[in-house]
Amino acid sequence: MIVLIICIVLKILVVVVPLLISVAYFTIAERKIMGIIQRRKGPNVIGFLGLLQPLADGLKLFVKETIFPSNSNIIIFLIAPMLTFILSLIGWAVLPLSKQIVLSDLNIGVLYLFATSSLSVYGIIMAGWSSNSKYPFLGALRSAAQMISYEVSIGFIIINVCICAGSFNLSFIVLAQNNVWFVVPLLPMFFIFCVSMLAETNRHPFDLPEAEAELVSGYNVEYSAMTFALFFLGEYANMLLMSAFVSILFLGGWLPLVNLFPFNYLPGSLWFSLKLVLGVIFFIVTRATLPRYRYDQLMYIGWKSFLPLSLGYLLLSVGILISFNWLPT
Amino acid sequence: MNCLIGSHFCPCSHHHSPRSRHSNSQLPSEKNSKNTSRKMSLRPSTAAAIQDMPPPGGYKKLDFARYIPDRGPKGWQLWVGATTLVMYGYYQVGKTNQARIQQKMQERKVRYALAPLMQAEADREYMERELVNLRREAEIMKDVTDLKGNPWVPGSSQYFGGQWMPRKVSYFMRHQG
Repeated sequence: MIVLIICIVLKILVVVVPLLISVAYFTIAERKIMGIIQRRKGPNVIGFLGLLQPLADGLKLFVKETIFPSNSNIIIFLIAPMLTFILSLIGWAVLPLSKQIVLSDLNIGVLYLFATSSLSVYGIIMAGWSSNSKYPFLGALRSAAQMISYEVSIGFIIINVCICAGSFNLSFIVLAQNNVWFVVPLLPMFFIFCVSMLAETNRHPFDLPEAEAELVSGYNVEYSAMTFALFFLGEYANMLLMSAFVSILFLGGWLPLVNLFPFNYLPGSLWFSLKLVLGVIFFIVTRATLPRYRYDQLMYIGWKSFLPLSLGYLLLSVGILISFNWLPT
Repeated sequence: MNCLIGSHFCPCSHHHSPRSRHSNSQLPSEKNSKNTSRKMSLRPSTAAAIQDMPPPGGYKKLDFARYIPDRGPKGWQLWVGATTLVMYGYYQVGKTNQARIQQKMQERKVRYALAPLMQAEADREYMERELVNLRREAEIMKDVTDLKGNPWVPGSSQYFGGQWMPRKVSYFMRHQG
């Protein structure tokens, strides 16, 4: 029994520790890539090429004083960042990193991921509301409304994928892409999903709820030091999670580009990492390139563009699969 | 005609040359020269007025609107290409799904074919264990009678329904540590 518990803990650490290191180096990657796009160098002082910058940032946040606003509800104020961080980590439990390398191979893995991303809305609402200040409150409301709006279209897109694959199991979904990745038949859905995941993670150009000019950093304005670090880590872990999710749903997960030598000689986890890095670069380049959407434009896109499109494409997918007897069961 | 105001202060430009606005009507480059017999050149008042007109034939056409080059595939070509790609993708998905269904059916047929053999093996195993237990039961219950006073028959059922009930698995495993 004890050996079993130790094995489970070790498996979790093998996933979580590299994830946290990735999140830390995601921040330096973002700053460096944005710097290159803006024709300047990013951080290059701390360590060789600035590679120790995340450690310096982490240390800074760790030693700073955590300020608790006197008007805030302390218990919920503290629970909110913990909830956000925990939810962004537990989503990784069902992601298959390679063939038979997965923490928990749930048959309802997609539903589980969807549920955790929906629960993260609570963390944001709790953060904004417990701060007891108007800017974070407004930011939290806008952020939560934005997230639930884009989750609807994400849900329909996921149904598209699951109908083509015939399962909610993420490993099955990857194996179903052996012949062709789902990005080919579901190309418009892939684009809509990429944009929706920007909105879901409150990233640029959908980051109005946490834009400094508009809402003074939004729902996490009252947070400092470690609590802010938890929000920060949670947001970046969420971005990595979404990149991994899109690579599993549309880009074949751990499957190679072409099932020929030398592509299939490389390990599956390497292919998965490459696709995840593509998603990360997409997040960063989009942030450096595009202007921000106004809030009403943001909501218009979510409800009046993406939702009808994703629903219509779902009907198209189902119609085609039924008509030609191509359903998976 | 000499200007009454003085060429330097007069705002009129049409009868003063630029040269006349300089002191002594001399350009800076001419100040140190020894040619002092130069006179101011004033246009006669009978000459026609000079108007700033476009060049003969007019100016070239100026494209002041935004420059959006029309290059790359046309819209209809993109639609056709994307539709072809998507339909090819659905075809591949359909092929994969049909192959998977066929594989599942094959596995099920294999299981159906093997079921009698597997059942026979299980029955054989059951009987081997049952015989061992019957021998043990016969030895334990040799001096015991049943409820009707008859000698105990090893293997007799615990139930009165008359229906044969197989042993539970725990029954076979009860002697294992």
